[in-house]
Amino acid sequence: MRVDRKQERQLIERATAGDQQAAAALIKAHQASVYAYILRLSSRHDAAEDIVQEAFIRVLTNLHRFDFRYRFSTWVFTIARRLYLNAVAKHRPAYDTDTVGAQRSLGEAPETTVYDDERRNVCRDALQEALNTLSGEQREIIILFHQQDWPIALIAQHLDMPEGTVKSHLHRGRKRLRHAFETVDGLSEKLSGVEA
Amino acid sequence: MNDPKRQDMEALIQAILDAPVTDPTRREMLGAIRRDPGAMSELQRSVSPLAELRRPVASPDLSGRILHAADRRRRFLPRKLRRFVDGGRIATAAGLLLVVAVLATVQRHWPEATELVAQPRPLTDATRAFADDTTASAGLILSETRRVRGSLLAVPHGDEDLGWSQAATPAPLEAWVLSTVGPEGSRLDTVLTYERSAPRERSLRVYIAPSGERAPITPDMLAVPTSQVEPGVGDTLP
Repeated sequence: MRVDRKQERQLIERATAGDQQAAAALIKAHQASVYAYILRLSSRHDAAEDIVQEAFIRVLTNLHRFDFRYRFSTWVFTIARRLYLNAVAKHRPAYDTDTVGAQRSLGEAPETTVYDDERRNVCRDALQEALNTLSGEQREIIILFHQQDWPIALIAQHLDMPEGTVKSHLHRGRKRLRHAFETVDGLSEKLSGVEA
Repeated sequence: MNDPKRQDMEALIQAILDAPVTDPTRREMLGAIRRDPGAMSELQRSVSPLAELRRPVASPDLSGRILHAADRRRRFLPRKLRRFVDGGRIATAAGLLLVVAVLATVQRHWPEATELVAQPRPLTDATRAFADDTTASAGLILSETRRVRGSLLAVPHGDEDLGWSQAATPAPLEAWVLSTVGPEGSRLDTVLTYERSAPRERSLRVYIAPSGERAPITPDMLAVPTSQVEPGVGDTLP
């Protein structure tokens, strides 16, 4: 569910006035992207669910303070990121690519073959494994830029980093990701096994 | 393959990956790289994990849980109620400030009123003890005055040296405490000056020792010339 900024503003105003349906619509409009972001950072569905839930609760309880000059999604992402970093500081998450892979992707047509399913699962696991080889900054910047389509300037603002540093992390991270993705243990064998 | 061509190709790949999909220059860059099979292969290898990253992730619908949890915390309030909450908080804060200000004023002007337990106050205690001592001394002086007064009545008639008239009728005596604390502070040297108004004026000095040790009044004391008597200050005794 996508909403433009005008609709989003109306939803925020209605939700601030106590409209639960508007609040639900706001959550539905942003939960998938925040969830995907945290899931790629944490590699854990349970952690992602908890963090996304807590982030939206905080957003709703502070909605009257929202400044319309900023993007709502940036605000939610900032809160979610802070919660994720707090969770990491408390207990480092164990990366569990199987957990990520256990979830089916969206957009899979009902007639998707078992072959396609398995191939995607293998690729998804390989991607998570490759992402986990990156540094925290590289991983986060790559996710924000390539998964969330955030511009460099916004990422720099979000991470409180100069734009040049963001670009540098992005370029190095992409090279490393490409290499790690290609050399994930047994990826080519798994893929060829699937294709066979 | 660290040649300049390779570096240019890598820079071009990064530029393509950096450019937004809608960027018109992206198409031109892609056109340039298509002419180089090696570069095209590199680009595909770079795009592969990124394309996987862009694949949508199934996310559970958390809206029900979130709204329920927000409701349970009783913090997600409509704007009207939020105003009451905010107003209440401000009123509470203002009330607390007012109470603190009133307490501070009371404590400043009536410190005893705000004392929960008696506080040790050395200066006040010393002042009070001094006042008590002074009162006690004044009482002592008063009694001594009466005694001296009685003794003066017994002075022999016609004793010119002392300057008392035989026929003198006991007149009212006045006494002044010149000092109740001696120079050392520890010793109480009380000096009384008696002034008799009639028939002939004469002044006397009486020395009274502290703590009940009353020095006997000797004729020497009584024979102090008037000129040596200093003007008295202090309480007037009856």
